[in-house]
Amino acid sequence: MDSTCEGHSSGPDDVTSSTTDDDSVTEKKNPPLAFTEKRIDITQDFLAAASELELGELVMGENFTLHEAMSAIELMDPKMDGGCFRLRVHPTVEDVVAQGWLRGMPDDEVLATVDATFACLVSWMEGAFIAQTLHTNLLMTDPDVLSAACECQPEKEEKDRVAGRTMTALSHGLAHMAILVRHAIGSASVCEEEDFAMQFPVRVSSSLTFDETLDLIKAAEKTLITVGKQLDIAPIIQSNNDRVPVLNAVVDRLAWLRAALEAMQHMIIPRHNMYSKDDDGEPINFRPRLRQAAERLSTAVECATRFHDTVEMGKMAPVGQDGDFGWLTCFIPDLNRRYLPPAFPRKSEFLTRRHGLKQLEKFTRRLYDVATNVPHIVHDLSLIIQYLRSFCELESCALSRSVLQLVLLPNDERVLGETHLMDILKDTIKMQTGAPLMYPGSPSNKSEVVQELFDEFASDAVRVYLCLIQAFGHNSGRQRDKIGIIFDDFANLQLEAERVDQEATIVTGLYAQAHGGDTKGPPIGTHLASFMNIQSLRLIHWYFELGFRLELFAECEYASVWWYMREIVSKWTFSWVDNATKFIYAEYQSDLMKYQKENPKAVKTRTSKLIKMDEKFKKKLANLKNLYTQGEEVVYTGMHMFCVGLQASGKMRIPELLPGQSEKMRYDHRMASLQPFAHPYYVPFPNYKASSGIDVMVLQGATKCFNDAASCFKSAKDALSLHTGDARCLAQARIAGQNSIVCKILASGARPDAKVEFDFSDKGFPFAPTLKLT
Amino acid sequence: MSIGVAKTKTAVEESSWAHDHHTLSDDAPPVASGDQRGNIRIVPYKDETQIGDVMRLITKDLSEPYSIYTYRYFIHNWPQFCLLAQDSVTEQYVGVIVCKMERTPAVNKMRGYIAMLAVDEAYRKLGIGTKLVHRTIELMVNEQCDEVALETEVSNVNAQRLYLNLGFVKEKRLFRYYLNGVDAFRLKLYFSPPSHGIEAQEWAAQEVS
Repeated sequence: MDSTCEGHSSGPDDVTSSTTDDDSVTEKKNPPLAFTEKRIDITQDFLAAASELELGELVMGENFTLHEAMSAIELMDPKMDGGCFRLRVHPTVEDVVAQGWLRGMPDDEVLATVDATFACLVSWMEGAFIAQTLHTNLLMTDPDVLSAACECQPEKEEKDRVAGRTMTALSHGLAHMAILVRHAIGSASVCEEEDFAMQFPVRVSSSLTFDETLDLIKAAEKTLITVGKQLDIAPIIQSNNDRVPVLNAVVDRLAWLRAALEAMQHMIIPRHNMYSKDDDGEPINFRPRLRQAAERLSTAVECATRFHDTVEMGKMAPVGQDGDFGWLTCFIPDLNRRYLPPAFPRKSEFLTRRHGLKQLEKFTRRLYDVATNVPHIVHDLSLIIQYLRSFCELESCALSRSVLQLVLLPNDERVLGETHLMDILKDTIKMQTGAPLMYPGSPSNKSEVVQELFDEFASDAVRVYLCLIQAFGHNSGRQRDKIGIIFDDFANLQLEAERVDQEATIVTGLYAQAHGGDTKGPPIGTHLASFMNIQSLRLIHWYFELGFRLELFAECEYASVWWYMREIVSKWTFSWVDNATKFIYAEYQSDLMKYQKENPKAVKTRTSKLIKMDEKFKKKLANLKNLYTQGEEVVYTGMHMFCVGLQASGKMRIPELLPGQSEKMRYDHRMASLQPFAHPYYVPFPNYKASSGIDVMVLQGATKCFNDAASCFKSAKDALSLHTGDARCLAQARIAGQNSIVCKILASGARPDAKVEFDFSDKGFPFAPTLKLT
Repeated sequence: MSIGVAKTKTAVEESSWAHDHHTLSDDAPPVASGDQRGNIRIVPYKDETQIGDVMRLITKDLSEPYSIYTYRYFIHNWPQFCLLAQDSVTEQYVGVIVCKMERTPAVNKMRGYIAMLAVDEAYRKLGIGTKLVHRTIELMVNEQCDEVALETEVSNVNAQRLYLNLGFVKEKRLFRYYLNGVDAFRLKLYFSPPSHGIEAQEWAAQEVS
């Protein structure tokens, strides 16, 4: 063994690189290895020393642990050491332009290259490394050099400039897109390294301004359209006719890029805005321009819709597999290996063009959804939360979730950069439960003590809701963890709300005593507590829904989860919504009486104010009705009964590694995040056992359980079928009907050996799987 | 009659990358009679002479192998939690489990961790994996273990079935946990009750780290 190891050279063009915060990369050639010390062969000494060691004995330095050693790689092991293969010298952008790669590139390859680049863009946006995806297209690595090289080319006719113009526009456009994407994801702060790779190991820049880039893309589109028209007018040869649709497909891609860039610019707070201040030293307020964004996204969606039908016009992969796109001239899969850590997987999973373009279309539709729907929900906190939930159901990606966050709260606590979250919170309370303490002139409104308590509650609530809104930006796995933590804050808000209600009740009671029963407004009650309880229960509901969506629950847990959903979530939601409905009704009565008193003649003539009061009242009732779906709780009961039946029949085993303790441990840990709520939302294990009566039900036998479950599903089907205008309820009714039949079959004993499956494949109903016998 | 969850195989699940460390097929015994395999006995890790077999069993199904230091980290520090399954006739090692157990400072809990589990392909469906896990858990419980944890790929239904049958629960889903971009489940088996706020502390500690 020679101490003058040759070193671990990666090849002739070995470089060192360091990525800096400003995205720049410094590169320099390694100085040649210079060994001035005298070299000694220590092989024999080493082997002699090693022979004295006992079997398994390790020699370690004090500052070196085996934990650290785990990160070591075995040099020259092809599966572990990325550097053991010599790096090839790759052509530069100037080389490929000078060699005429672009001049001679057929249209179908141009299209395939654009599609492959888009697929790589999506792979990067979904978490892969940019050096292994987007920047394996050599032409995307340096837009300025590509522009300069193309400018020097001698092509005189437009038709020879198709590839050059397209690639230059694409290169500058995607450089701006990459910078925008990273800025959006970095600013929203809802992603971790597994969601998105923030590093730019090589500089990503374009010397063109944003507007210049848009002009460049537009000019490229025009060139392609012009060439298409020329070909259309003078189809000298048949193949010219075939070129036109291909060129149109490329135009669609460029138009998408331009529209998407513009839309994102309208939606995302610019980088300079985040740190700039106006003349008064206040941060410059950014307001997303959603109307303009929606217009551009409408165009982008239109273009993206055509991607699917035109992808086949591009050059086909030689063996029918897109793979790493190495079969396309501009793609060099190995291009950036030098920038990857040695142990980094050298092969990245690439999306195919078809899959990548489909994802791009979905992404565009999601942004369009944000631009068009967000303006309609921002007046109501419940609607905002509901929208965030539904956005998660759309298989949202890190970027679209980040954009949504930045649109909702671009600068600070003002939604859309306009309305303070505090004002929206107060409006939501008024809408959902009414709040006499916000009723002008009411005793509680005039009470300093009540208002102080209320202000404290409201400012705490704003803080908690800001955290919650941000939590919804995370991927569903982490979102669930964060919501579990936020329960603590919701439990505290409930207590605060109860304190405000109590104080308001005392103050109003004293006033009424002194003024012959007059409360100067609607009667006081547990308004705030009702509001907070409804909010908490909705959040608990989502927490369990996420559990099902993430496939976290084991079958042995189903019985307790469905029992909890019915007994706690559904029943208490019904109760609090019922309370809120009474408050809204009382408020309406109070307003009506006050108005009649002040305008005795107006009652008969039905003034516009009265009509507005009626409409507002009906809208509030409709909103409350949406919080609770009649029939759902019966589905939960049916599922609970069914699982107990399976336990009773011995078909569902409850693992008991520690007899009498294991089930309790599992339950306690699963419900641990609900502990802050205490009674009634946190149910200790003994209480669950007693309340559910599960042990008694098991003793009564499987047949009774299955029969009871069948009845529940039948009732659920009938109740849900009443929602004739609601497709979701009708679909649930259909599932309940099918489940009822499965329960009856099991109860009859007709198919004792049948296998039971809980089919959760219908993502629309994570709580209501279809039961199947196979 | 058995119960299963219907699953649709996605493109991600068909990934060619394998990083999951729990390599076994359906572990449920018994198999057809008449095979030539001898009785299986579970033996503790003895010394470095066995490390080659440990690596052979585990590396076989992994495209990205561990360095020998990864094995040494676990086996050198916690040799008592490395068990092997041996065919008593051929004397061959046909299964292995590699674990560790240490106190987690953030939550002050003694946490066992199953790092690797593998059973030779010819010896699967004999319940060897279950035996190895069960025996290790017993050893951990004897040393006042509060919980046992592990991660496994979402598509590794065989490993999940084995652990869920023993009473593990899927505590959380870890998004793109593996280098190939596939999600993982963190599974846990509990031997002590939760303390209030412990998840928050643990999460905060994870955020810091």
